[in-house]
Amino acid sequence: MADPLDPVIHAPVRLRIMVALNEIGTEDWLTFGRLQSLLELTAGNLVTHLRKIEQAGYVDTLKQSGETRVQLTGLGRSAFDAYRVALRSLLG
Amino acid sequence: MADHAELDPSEALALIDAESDRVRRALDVRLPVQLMAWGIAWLIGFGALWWDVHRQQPFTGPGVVSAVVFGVLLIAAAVITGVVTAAATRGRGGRSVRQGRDLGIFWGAGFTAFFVFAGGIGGVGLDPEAAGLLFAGGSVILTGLAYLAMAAVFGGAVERLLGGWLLLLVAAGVWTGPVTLNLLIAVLGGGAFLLAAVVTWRRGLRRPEGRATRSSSRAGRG
Repeated sequence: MADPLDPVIHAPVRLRIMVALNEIGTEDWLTFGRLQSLLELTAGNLVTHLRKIEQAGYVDTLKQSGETRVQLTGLGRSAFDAYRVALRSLLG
Repeated sequence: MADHAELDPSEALALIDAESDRVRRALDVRLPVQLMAWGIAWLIGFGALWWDVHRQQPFTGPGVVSAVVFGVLLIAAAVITGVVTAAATRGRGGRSVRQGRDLGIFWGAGFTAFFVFAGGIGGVGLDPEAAGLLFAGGSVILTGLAYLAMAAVFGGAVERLLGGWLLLLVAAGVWTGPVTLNLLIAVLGGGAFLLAAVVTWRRGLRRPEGRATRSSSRAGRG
């Protein structure tokens, strides 16, 4: 039987990234630096996990004005909502 | 935290709750702190203006000392608002951040235009009582409108009530004259800010359901 939990999200670091981006407004973004300090991750670790999430289409990254902006996509927000629903259903 | 650590569903839910709480706090603009700063500034500032004029016969308006106390307190509250908002919105942008910033800029522009306008009226001749009513009442109306605008954009019930109350306070208080108006603004205006600070602080202690996105970009201002 397939794992009902989205493997892109169901990893501690990526889950924390999704939570942080989900906490800001639907049309808001965080800079890479703020996200890094917020999650207390190394740059390399954050890049690695962001790349996986971005490949799934859950986040957009945009280089602008000398900074990298990270934003949850509509697909990412839906996937995160579905992940939480799946967690709750697993727990009964 | 290890990248490949196993998470069972209950651990994952607990992590979501803990992280949501932590991130929400980091991005919060500390609305209770801002409201408290403005409440204290109004209570003491307008209180000082009232104390200065309450025995004047005839009314000549506040002197330099009470005006400076008032100005310093307002500047201090504005600085606190700016510092906590900047800390919360650092490295963050997008629609709600832009809306919050615009509200602050527009309110500041409106306030500046009002004081220039009122000064211009004073320049062509205005008796001290009318000047007292104009400056005190006008600045409170602008502040009330700023909170109503904030409520219209972000939907906060506390901001809506506070803004409406400030408009009502001036509309009713203007008939009491410039001396009592200052006292009313100090007690009922400053008091309303302090009450709003307590309400928002208590609300913040309860874990909100779902996302707390909009509140994290708005800024209190008085």
